[in-house]
Order: sequence, then structure tokens, then C-alpha cells
Amino acid sequence: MTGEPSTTNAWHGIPVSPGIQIGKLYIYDPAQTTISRRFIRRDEIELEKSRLADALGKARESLLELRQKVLQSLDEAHASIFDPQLMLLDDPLLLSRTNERIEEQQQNAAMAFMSVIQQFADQFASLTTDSYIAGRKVDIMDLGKRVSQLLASSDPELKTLQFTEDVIVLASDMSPSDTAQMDHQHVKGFATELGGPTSHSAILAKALEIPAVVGLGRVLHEARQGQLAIIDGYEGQIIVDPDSRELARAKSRRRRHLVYERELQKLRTLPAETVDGFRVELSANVELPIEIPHVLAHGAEGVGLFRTEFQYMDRAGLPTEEDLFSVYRKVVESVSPHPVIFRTIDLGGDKLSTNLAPTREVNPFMGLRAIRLCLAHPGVFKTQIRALLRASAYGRARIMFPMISSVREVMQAKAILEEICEDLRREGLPFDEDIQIGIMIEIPSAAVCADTLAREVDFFSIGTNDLIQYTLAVDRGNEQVASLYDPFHPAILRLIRTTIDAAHREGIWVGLCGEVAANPLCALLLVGLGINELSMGALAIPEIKRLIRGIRLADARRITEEIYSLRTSSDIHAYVREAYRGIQRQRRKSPIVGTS
Amino acid sequence: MTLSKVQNTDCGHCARVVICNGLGLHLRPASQLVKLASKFEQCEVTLTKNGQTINAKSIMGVIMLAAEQGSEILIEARGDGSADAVSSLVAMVESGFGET
Repeated sequence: MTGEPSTTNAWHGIPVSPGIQIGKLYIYDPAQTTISRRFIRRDEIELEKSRLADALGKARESLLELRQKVLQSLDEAHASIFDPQLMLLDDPLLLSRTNERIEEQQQNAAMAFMSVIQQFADQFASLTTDSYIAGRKVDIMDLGKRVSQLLASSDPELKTLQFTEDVIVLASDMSPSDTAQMDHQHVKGFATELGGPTSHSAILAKALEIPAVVGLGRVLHEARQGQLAIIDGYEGQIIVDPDSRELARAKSRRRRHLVYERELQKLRTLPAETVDGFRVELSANVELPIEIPHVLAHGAEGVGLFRTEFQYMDRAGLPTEEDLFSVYRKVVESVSPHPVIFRTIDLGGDKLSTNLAPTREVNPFMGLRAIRLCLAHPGVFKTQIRALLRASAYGRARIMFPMISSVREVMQAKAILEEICEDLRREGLPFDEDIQIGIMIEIPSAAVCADTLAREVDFFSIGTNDLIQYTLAVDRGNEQVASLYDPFHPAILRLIRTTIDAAHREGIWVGLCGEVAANPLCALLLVGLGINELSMGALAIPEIKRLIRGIRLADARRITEEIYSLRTSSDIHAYVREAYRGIQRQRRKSPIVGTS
Repeated sequence: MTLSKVQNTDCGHCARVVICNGLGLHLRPASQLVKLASKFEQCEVTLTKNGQTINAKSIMGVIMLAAEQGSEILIEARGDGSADAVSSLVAMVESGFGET
């Protein structure tokens, strides 16, 4: 938004939850947790052994309690993250090895237990290249910390996650139980060295509406406990020990954002309609069911992209039809009366934690993934389709197939769907007979053949993130070519126009669910092209709604027509920016909450 | 299969089996195996692979055995119900842990 401050006490990461807060740092470093390690006398051995048994029992109770809490507020899939720890607690090897150390080496229970846990964790991580098993190292360490905290619970020196004043928590990473146990009263921000937009702390911060920044890189050892810090969840920045200028800037930015957000919130219940009455549906991209209340609060008129992958990841084996159905049903019910577009599995086989993809692919982006994987392994696909269709009886579900490259794939997928509809009818299970079926337009061949594809489906959703990568042959993750990734490239704008025009000629509606939907200039062009729906991260909805309510379709069309005669993306970008400024100047005086 | 025939030992039973499921003793099959072994409370159950012997009631032990598809393990049980323990564990391993 504004220029970066030229400070060396600032760290940049990924902004995952917006807001600006100023507070004292609480550095949470489980590795540094003070464990009162000591050697014991012979006559203390029995006491330490019974303290250990006691602590293990309490740890089990608290884990079961946490599991129950998460089960009630979320679902079984989230609750089961505590299962590996519960199983470990019952491991006879853990108890016998710890007792051995207490008896033979006369270590106190906390020291003995942590040593065994550390051994386990190291062996575990070194044992395998399987990321699922290696990832369970976190569970082992989490368990170690939990038990050693219980062992030392009488020790006032030991830090717990309870606070008496407002803090910004700075951690390497947050385990599920850390996040769940955090004292929400006083935690005003999260910042972590590791993690991505879908990490537990990110999701929780978003749900609690406190600013969060993840993926900061190495910062823990540069900051001190209790230092003043600014967390900026808009820019994804944390400033440690700010000077008075930085503090003043943060405070004024915070005030401005609060005023702005309050304004935008007033738009919540108003439609996204241009001044001359063209209506665009604004919906949200959703990763996890927990986000839905937050998404609706930002005025989403439905879910334009529900990513169904989370139930397949970070677990052993595949989810059952019932696992899927119970989540889909909850989602459909909570979004009702608005629609939810479920995108079927959009993963490569390597992510499915089964042996569906025995060979490693050199180029997985162009490999056996998404609809291709589903058609090659119809069993997995059928289970998901059954669950989706059954859920459609409880609200408005739509089904969307990703990574379509030809009409043949659509016909194959539809044949499977029809077969399952037939099964459900025979079994007498209810589902929505008029359910809309759509496809993602994210491969250039699909955009080029949009006219023939449009005759097969009820809607299109243009997936620009992949469409841009595939069309321009640019991997966004490769920083050497990332600058070539460009939504304003004339080829992209032509493919989008081809797609929208073809859909409208065949009488179906078109949405768009890439990041460009949240970009005001792109949104302006898309409106000009007649897009029917835009799906984006919920936070962007009020802003885009404000933009749409401030323009005329006629103006947007005029601007859009102009760009197709321009040759370079920088010319296009400059032209649209100028044109938009012109519109803004004209309408500056009008309030954002107009009655059109 | 002759390999998995349950045999008598000094104070219990044993059998050799080959891990046939694709994932090997991954976390989920390992935990299924531990749960089953733990049901035989009066029995000491061990698994041996390449000379390494572990307690079959320990999830850490079973996972650290790192038994992949195709590896041969020896299941041994001593104590009350050892025949039962060995034969039900053999059946579980040979069923491929219900993997599809």
C-alpha cells in the first residue's frame, strides 16, 4: 500500500490475517522451555516414577478433553489430529524406557522423559522419507512438552501460555494444541517463522480476527522476550523495537484501516451491482469449513470455490464416503440459501497418501493429477461424487471438475456422475436432481474450445492462477521467471474473452476463481467482459463490491474494448489504471454506500 | 501359504509373514496392529525383522521396525492365548490391513 520502511528490525512474511497491533512480544520457543532437569537420590526413585505415571494420566485426560472440544466446534477430521499423541501415550516402550532412566541413571522424571521423547523424535524423523510419518515428529515433541509441563506444574518458573497483559506471540511454528490452548483474551497477534496460509495458526487467527503473519524466516533469535513490536497483517510485516516514527505510522495506519473497514462492512448486505444495474455475484474461495462464518460475515453470496483437498491430506489412507459426506453436508447447510461450488479432488497422486501414484513424476504439473487422476482411479472419484450428491439434498451444492483439457474428459466425468445418480435413485437416497455441473477453465485448450465445452455443462469457472501458468509456460514458484507471470498479458485477456463469449452464446454463466478476481483493475475488466461471478479470498470482497457499485457497465465495456488493440501488458495495465482513476475522480464525491 | 503357518515354540507360538500391503507398516497399519496386539493382555507379543526384535504393543517399536512391502517378519507370542494372538495378527497382515 505504501513504501516499505527502511528498517533492519523489520521482518517480512506472508500476511494471513489482517489487522495492525502493537504489543509486547511473547517469544514462544518450546525447545527453550525450562525443564527442571536434575539428578535424584535413590530414595526419590519411586516418587519420580509415580509422578511420571500421574503426569501421563493427566496428559491423556487433557488430550481427550481437547479432542472433544475440537470435535464439537469443528469435526472428526480436525479432532483426529490428536490421535497419534494419544496412541503414543499408551506406548509401553515410552514408559519402560523412561522408568529405566529414572532407576538406572537417577534422572528426575522430566529429564528422563524428555530424553526418551527426543530419541523417539530423532529416530522417527530419520527413519523415513515419508513426509506423513516424518511430520509426526511434531506430535512426539508436542507430547513431550505437554507431559514435562505437567511434571513441572508445581514449578512456578515454568512458562505456560497464560498471559496477564496483551501480547504478540512470536514462535517458530505452532502445534495444533498450542493454538487451541492459547489464551485468546490476551493474544493480539501471531507471528511464526514457519508455516503457510493454511497452517493451524493462520486459520485460527483468521477465525478470531487477529492479525497474523507466517513464514517470517529466522527471527526468533533476533528478538527478546518482552520487546515492543508491531505486527502488520496487511503487509505481512513485523517490526521489533520500533522507533517513535514507526509507532506513529503504525497507529495512523491502524486508525485508517479501522475506519475503512467499518465503511466497507456497511456494504455487507448490499448487492454487487453497477450503477446501471449489472449484477455480479461475489463469492468466496474456501479451504476449510471453519472459515465459513468469517466468509459470510464479509458479505460473500456463496462459496465459489470449495477446495476439497484437505480431507485427503496429512492423513493415512483415504477418507470414507461418510467422512466426506458429513463435512460436505455441514458446509452446504451453513452456506444455505447461497450455493457452494465443490471442486473435486485437485491433487496429484503423490499427495493422496495412498499408493495411487507409484512412480514419481518429473513434471507433476503436467502429470496425472486432478480429473485425470480421478478418471484413472474412478473408485476414489466415485466415493467423492456420491458424498457430494448426497450432500446436495441439504442445500445448494454445485460440482466442478478441475483441470479439464478436452470434451472427452467432461463426458467421461459426467458418465460416472450419471451412473452414481442412478445408484442413488435405486437406493432411494435423496439428492438434488437439478444440481449444476461445471468445469474449471484453466488449461489453454479448454479456453480455446470453450464453445464445445459450454454445451456439456451448466457453468464455467475460469481458474486464472493455472491458466496464466500454463498459457505463458511460467512456474510462479520459480523466482527466475516469476516476473513473467502476468494477468495483463494480451494472450490471457484474449483467452478469458473467448471463454466468456462462448459461454454466453451457449446460455451458461461464467465465474472466475483466481487471485485476479481480487485485483480491482482486473475486476473492472472482467465486469466489462460480462463476468457473472467472481470468487476470491473473503477479505477482498468488500473492496471489490465497492468498486463494482461505483462503476457503470457501459464504462467498463468501453475500457475493455480499448485494451484489445493494445500490444503489451504494460500498455494495458497503464491504460486500465488511468481509466479507473478517471472514473474514481468523477465519482469521488459520491458515498461508497450509495442507493443505486 | 506355508510361510505363515503358526508353529509351537517353547512357551508360545510363532509365524512368519510377508508384509503384502503397498504402504508397509505405515502409521495407520502400525496402529491397527498395535491395537490388536494390545488386546492380548496376558501375552507378550514381539515382531522380529532382520534380527531386530520389538514389542508389538508399542507404536514406536512397530514403526521403527520400518517394515516395507515385501519384508518378512516373525511374529512371536508367549503366554495365555498366544496361538490366538499369532493367528489373528497373521490374518491382519495377510489381509493387507484392509488397504484397497
